[in-house]
Amino acid sequence: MNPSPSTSKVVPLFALEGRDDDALMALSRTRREAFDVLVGRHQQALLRIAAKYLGDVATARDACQATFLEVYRARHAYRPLGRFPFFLRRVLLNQCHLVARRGGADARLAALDVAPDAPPPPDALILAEERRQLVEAEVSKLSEKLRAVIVLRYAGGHTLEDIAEVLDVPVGTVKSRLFAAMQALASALPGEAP
Amino acid sequence: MTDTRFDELVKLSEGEVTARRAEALRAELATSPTLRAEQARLEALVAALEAPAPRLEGLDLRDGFWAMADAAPAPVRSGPGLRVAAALAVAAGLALVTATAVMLRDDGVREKGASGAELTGFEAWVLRDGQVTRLGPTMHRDDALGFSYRNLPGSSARAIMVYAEDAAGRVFWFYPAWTDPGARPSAVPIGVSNAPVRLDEAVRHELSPGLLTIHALFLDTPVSVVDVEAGRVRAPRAASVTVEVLP
Repeated sequence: MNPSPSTSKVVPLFALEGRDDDALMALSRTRREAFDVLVGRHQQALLRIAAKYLGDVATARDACQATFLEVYRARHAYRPLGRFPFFLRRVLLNQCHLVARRGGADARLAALDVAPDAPPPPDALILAEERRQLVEAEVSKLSEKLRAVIVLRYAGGHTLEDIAEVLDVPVGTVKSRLFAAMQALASALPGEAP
Repeated sequence: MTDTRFDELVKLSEGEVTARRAEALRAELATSPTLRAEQARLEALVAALEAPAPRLEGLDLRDGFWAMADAAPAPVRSGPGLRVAAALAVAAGLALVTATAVMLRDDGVREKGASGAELTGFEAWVLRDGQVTRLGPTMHRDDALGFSYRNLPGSSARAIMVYAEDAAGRVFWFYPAWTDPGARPSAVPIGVSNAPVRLDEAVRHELSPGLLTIHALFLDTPVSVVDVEAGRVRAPRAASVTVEVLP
């Protein structure tokens, strides 16, 4: 079955002789190297967002790889409008939504976050790490809409305007979701000494 | 401390309070231990939200990516699974054909495809809130889609089929619409024309967020939807476009 017709040009058969094969393989490698550059450029930003969304590094890595795989497969259809980072984050959030709905953000690899032979960290770092894990647990309880805004704002460091474009909603909607999410998260965080 | 005060501090941090109110809040922060405690709570929350998980920096998604890309199954499923998925979707009443006429513009029919593509092409249109616009890189999941095509003199194509597949391999038929699982609708007959021709109905499916690839097959002889899904059809002229369905 081939209901996914190719949109690429047809290569005449006589071009596939001898050394032409090498040329075609080199062309393929060049494309892969170009995509590797793209992955290298964006992967850390995406990993931060996905890890905060899913609360688990290994699951976040899977979601990010699935994101790049989806983008790679759709590369022929991509329209160069200069909005690739927004497109990339939309695809990532969809992947995170799917993973979260499947229950993928469980604690199966949480133990990997602690290096077994590392020296004990100072108390302040332990407290900060405990707080990070506590907050991420609360983030995972937020609705998809609130969670997307929170992770894009703080893990992604994006402006409210950029978040609005990623989510295709008005900026006012982003603000109301952000404030609602912060209220929900604050209620779970113990008070701090001034 | 009330939630209202915390909310106000969040808005202050985002620059979402008036200049006068911001000045008043800063003055209160200088004198009120209670408000400072609330500010400390906000700062701790933001710090926790911004803190990356340990071991993130060491990850490189390029490790093993190509092995995964080469090994992963293509997004299009073949064989009975695809047919069953489509039949179930139809049986579940997921295909809703709207009767709304789509008024399409007569310009800009995009050409794509292999040999002979200069003679055929198709364009997708979005019907939303009674307005028709050209399909862009994104669409809403409840948008209806309409289509126009070009089949210029000299083309041997005499029928068209339009369907879409999502990332999960689900198939959605637009032309012909497939609403009866017991039927075997055939390709829509077309003639040749110097001008783009619109297909008069917009079709709305229940789509899932994610990438959706729309295919148009231009056929010399009509075939059925079952033939396409069974893989018995290889259209000499085909075109496709991918759009992202937003949540």
